[in-house]
Amino acid sequence: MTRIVKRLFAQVSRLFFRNIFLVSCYALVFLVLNGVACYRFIQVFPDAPLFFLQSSLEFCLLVFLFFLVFSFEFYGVLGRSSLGELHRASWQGTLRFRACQSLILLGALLVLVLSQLGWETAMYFRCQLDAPRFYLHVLKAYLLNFVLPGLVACMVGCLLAERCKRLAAYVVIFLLVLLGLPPVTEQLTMLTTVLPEWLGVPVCRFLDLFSLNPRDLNTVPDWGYGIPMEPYRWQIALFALFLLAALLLLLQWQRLRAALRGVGVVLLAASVVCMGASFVRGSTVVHDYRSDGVIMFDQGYYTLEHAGRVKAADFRVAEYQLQLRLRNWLEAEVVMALEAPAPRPVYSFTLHHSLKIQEVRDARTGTALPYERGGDYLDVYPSDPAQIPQIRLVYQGASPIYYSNAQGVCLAGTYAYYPMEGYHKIYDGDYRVKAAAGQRRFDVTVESNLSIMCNLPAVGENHFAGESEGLTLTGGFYQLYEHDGMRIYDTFLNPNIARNPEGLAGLDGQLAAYSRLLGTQFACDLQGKLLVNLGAHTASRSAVFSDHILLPGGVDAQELAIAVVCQTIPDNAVKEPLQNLFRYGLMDGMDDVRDIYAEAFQDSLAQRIVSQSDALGEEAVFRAMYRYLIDESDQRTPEQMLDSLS
Amino acid sequence: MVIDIKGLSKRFHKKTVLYGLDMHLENGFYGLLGPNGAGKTTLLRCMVDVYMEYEGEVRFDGQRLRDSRQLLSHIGYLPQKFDLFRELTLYEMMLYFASLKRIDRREQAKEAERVLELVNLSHEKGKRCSALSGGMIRRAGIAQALLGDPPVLIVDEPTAGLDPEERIRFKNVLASLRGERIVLLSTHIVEDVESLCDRIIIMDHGMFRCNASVQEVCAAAQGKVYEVEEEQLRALSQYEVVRTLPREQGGTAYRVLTNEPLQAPLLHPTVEDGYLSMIKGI
Repeated sequence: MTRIVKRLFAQVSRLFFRNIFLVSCYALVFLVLNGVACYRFIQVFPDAPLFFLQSSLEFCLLVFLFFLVFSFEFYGVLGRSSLGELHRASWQGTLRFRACQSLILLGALLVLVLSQLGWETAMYFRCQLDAPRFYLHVLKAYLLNFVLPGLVACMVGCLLAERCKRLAAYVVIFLLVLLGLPPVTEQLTMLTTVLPEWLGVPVCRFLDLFSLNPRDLNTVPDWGYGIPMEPYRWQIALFALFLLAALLLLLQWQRLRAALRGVGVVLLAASVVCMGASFVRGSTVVHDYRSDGVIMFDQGYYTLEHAGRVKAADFRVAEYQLQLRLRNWLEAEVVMALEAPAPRPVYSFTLHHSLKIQEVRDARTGTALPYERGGDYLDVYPSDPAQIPQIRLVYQGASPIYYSNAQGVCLAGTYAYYPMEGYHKIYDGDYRVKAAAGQRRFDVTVESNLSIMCNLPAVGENHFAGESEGLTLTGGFYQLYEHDGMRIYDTFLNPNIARNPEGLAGLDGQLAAYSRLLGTQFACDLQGKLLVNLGAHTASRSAVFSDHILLPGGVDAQELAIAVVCQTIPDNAVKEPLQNLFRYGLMDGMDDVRDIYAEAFQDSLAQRIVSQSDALGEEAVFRAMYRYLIDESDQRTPEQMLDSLS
Repeated sequence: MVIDIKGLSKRFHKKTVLYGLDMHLENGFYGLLGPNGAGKTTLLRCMVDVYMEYEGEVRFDGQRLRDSRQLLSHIGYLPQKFDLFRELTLYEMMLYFASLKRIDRREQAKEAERVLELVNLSHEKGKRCSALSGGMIRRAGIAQALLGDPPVLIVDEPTAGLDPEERIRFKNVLASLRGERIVLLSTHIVEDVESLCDRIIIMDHGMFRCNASVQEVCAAAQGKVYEVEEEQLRALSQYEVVRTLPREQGGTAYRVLTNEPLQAPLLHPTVEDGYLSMIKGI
């Protein structure tokens, strides 16, 4: 029997190889893909494996389209030859013929994919990565973006060949490809943002069911995260596969035995389950205009009505005990030991609005504590006003920028993913970066499939404890580098900092210049701190802690020096406009303050600064601004302060 | 081999196409005759399981086809629409059909040669199917039906669209297949049936009109077939013109089928006359 099947397969293969149209099209696609890959390998991305991978994935839609057409034409051979009836009249004739065709198409798909993987492998070895987890990432990316969509395309082609005439089939193919085109999906996603949720699900997630292609290919990749491949993408691919398999089976209902009918029903049920599962998402990184995507997640949220607040804390968190589960998203159980001169009627915290609180209790007594949650802010009321409570908070949530899932972790010590005392602004066009005032003790255990980096010393596997102003956790394509006594935690796919540590040698010079300008000594010991490449995707600035420094994406000594200076300035909502101009002036000089803010934007505060600079000199004005900003007892407005200069 | 059909009914949506058909076939040559739309092709498709949804039973040697689809391996079937894969040669096509019929790999080459020889296509076996004529393709269809020497051969409208020379060639091939098998030939061309078949099953509007020998079919029109002139024709109330007979001297006579007694030459009935008599109810 096996020999008969082999013989049948050989004969059906002849149908493929002697079809000039099919073979020519396949050869053309093969040559184009490999030709472009070769060119990019040699000329364009000689040492950038993630860029290379991302550029390869640009052909996903082309391969999908090709296999839609290819499989439709190949499966349609039976119908066009008028041999369909004869096959139906033979025992398992149609089934065996289709099986042979499917094997041929699968082989064609795999040959194409493997040829591309050959280039990826060559790139991997050329870059001497020695990182099997990245190679696994590449394999998964190809499986998710080429193989599974290719299989879906073949099944769609089979379905269309069974049920549709050519014109109708090509209309369907056109629509499927149209829905997958990046400009189209982008526009449709934007349109869905104005629609209300349907059945509690954002409408754009229904749209996602029609597109298996990655959406992030025209952005700079996140070097620590790689190509986004969260569970929902796999669930959508499986939804399509199960649904099509079920349709192919169930359309032959009369011909099926009870067992196969049962299989068809199970496949249909499985497709519904996968569809439902794809709607429930954890921490995902999607670069489009959906409300929970990278672009709009916080930008859309922080409108005027969600503008941040600033309120100094009248207590401090002396110790954090955190149990974090970073699988699909962030699940946290945090116990905070508070310190205050006296018990407070309310304890105010900042915790990013994406983190939904499930429980607030007194950690000592277990009593539930009343609380108010408004946006990024949390007020907890102690059960016993005479006592300073120990608060236990349980919450969970996800952010596409400070993500935490099975693929990557990016939780900065400046980002309120754990409760921080007082109110502060998280986002005002950029992510605010501010280390908390004063060190406190952290004891954190992390449950994750990734190897997690923490600024604190490890005391066990994924268990860290120590003292710092903030807790930074990262995981993904990172490794530790050492250079001249500096420890650098950088992504090995594009180690901007580790490759160019000399750039930080200018830090001392910059700090000396600012020290002279502002009349205060500034220093930053790079040798004693862990330098962490946070990733440019956070659109944030450098942040300096006592034990680590966050560097978003690269080496910029001036930017780091400014971060050291600004770290000394406490938060103050009234003084904030001046602080922004002060920082801008340090970065680009007073001339830009004059040209852009004072003259172009007609900013009155900038005009005052420029006017006083002209009268008193830039250095004097900078020093005055700095003294004013760091003096918490100075309650004047910035205008009053500037007007008082003489 | 024996074929039994009991109470076979088939509907397409609300339209009934076959009405409770009963049939018993043993070894021999059967012609299934009927006008277009009578249900012949539908009947054959039910017999070879192309249509699986129908009422009634189809049994081969007592076994229900529905329960034993392996029986299809014992049936040679040539459908009304038949073609070949243009990319393959005729020989490769026969090997393909042999694989489809699960003929042992070691026997396939021999079988392919045998059936091509039977249908006089051995000399064309190296040709691509795209280069074959319509008649050759039709004969190739019979060849594939004969692979494995099946005890049942079902052929649907085999000569439709063939030129006279191809039709004669094809009928000669069919005639050579007499033996220990059931051959069921479905057609609306009376001549095909007349020359080949032992028994004729006449079908109309989804029902059998008769299942009889050639002589019995002819006898149905006994005493009803006349040669009449045009003037006599106008005087008839119920009749069926079988054929027009142009006269050498000019004018036209008609071979008519009628129940009315006429003063005209009575002709010896043919299968065509008997068929029309049953179909038209004359």
